[in-house]
This record gives sequence, structure tokens and C-alpha cells, in this order.
Amino acid sequence: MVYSVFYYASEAIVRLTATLIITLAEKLRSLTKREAEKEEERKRIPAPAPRGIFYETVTPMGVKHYVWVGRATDLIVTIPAPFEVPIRRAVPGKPPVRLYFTFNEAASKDWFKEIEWLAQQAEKIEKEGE
Amino acid sequence: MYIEVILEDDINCPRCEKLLPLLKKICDELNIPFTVKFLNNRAVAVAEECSAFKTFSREWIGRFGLPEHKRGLKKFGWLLDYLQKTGAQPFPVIVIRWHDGVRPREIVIRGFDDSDKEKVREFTRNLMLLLMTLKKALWGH
Repeated sequence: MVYSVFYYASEAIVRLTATLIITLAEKLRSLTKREAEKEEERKRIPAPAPRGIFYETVTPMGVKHYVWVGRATDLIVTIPAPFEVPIRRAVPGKPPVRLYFTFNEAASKDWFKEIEWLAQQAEKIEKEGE
Repeated sequence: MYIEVILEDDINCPRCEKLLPLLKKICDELNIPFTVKFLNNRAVAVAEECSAFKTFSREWIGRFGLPEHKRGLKKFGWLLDYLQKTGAQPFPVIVIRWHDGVRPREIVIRGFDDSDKEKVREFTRNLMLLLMTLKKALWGH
């Protein structure tokens, strides 16, 4: 019983002195830190987002967004800002190019040569058509 | 840039039944999307004897057909016209469709005959090679 009292008491004293030394050291360091270093530290920590209102931000892709962060909830709403869509003339898509083969042609050894030849013919006809 | 394989299939066709697992295995190995399109009653089994059945069209034979096909038109021109009029869809048909960044392209293979094992092996080999080449050209691997 006595030994435990000594143990706990000595532990408490050591803890107190250690906390005192550390706090004093921190205080001394903050007093001796230069103004420039303090400014840099303040800049590194970003300001918390305002909650409960819509505020404007820009995404890394360069798109403007309006963001709302909930005050008492984790709700986040992002609305992209409207942007101008340039009016461009509609260009119709090209129709697919089809090459037809039968099973006997596809199972022959010269199939790839035939595909190449047919593709060249199709390109030639396309150029003539243009 | 996509690449896909489509099989136009009939439920009651025994050749389609043999072709489906073969194609599925090839596409699974190469990781290419594979879909099966089951046709309706008006579909027609492909006749492979004459390659003029490529498009079932008189105009196609007139423009691109060989002289023997044009001669054969006299005999089966009426059949081609009928097939065009009814809009018959053939089966089994393998469609390999891809987009190379400029326009979509398709290779259409009509018919399948599993009676000759050597031909089926050659056909499988050619298909694998074609799909691997297309994949390499489009995706780089």
C-alpha cells in the first residue's frame, strides 16, 4: 500500500515536470520564431470552407463551380456554372465500312491477303466517291 | 475506340450451337466483348456454296461480282430479289465491329461448317489472329 503511494506519487511528479518543460520549450520556440515562418505556416493550413452558403470555386480542370457545404450535416452540393456552347455546324457521321466473307473464305490460308485487298478496293471507291 | 464481336444466331440451328462456345472461348481469352443476337422466324440459314450470297443483292453482284457470279444471276437472280424483298437475315453470322477513330468498320463472316475439322481449326486460327491484330492496332496490346 505504501509502495503503491510512492509509485503513483513519483509518477505524477515526473509527468508534471515533463509537461512543464515541454510547454516552456514550445512557448520559447514560438516567441523566437520569425514573422516570416509564422506567415508561411498560416498559409500552409487552408482556411476551412464556409458552411451554410454557396461559394464559388474553380476545379483543377478550370471549371467554375458553386459549392454548398452543410452546417450541421456532411451534405455537399456542387453546381457547375453555366458556360457558352459554341454553335457549330452538324457534321454527319461516316457510315461503317463492311467487308463480307463466307466461312470457306475465312477458313482459307489467304484470308488476310483478301482482307487487305478488299480494304484497298473500298478505300479506292471511297476516294472516287469524294 | 472499341472492338466487339456479335453472333447472329438462331435458337434451333445446330451449327450455331457448335459455333457459340467456340466464339465465346476466343473472346473470353482475348477479353473482347461478345454478344449473341437471336434472330426471329424470318431468318434464313446461309448457303455457302456460292460466294455471291454475300449480300443477297443484285446491285452488289452487278458492281463487285466476278463474271461467274454475273452469269449465275440468270439462274438465281429471282431468289436474291425474293430475299431482298422479304428482308431475310442469314444465320449464323459473325460480325466483328470496331472503330478506328475515323469511322466504324465491320468484317462480316457468313456461315459455319463443322463437318471438316481442319477447316474449323484454320478458321479459329484466322479469327484469333485477326482479333489479336485488331486489338494491338487499337489498344496497343
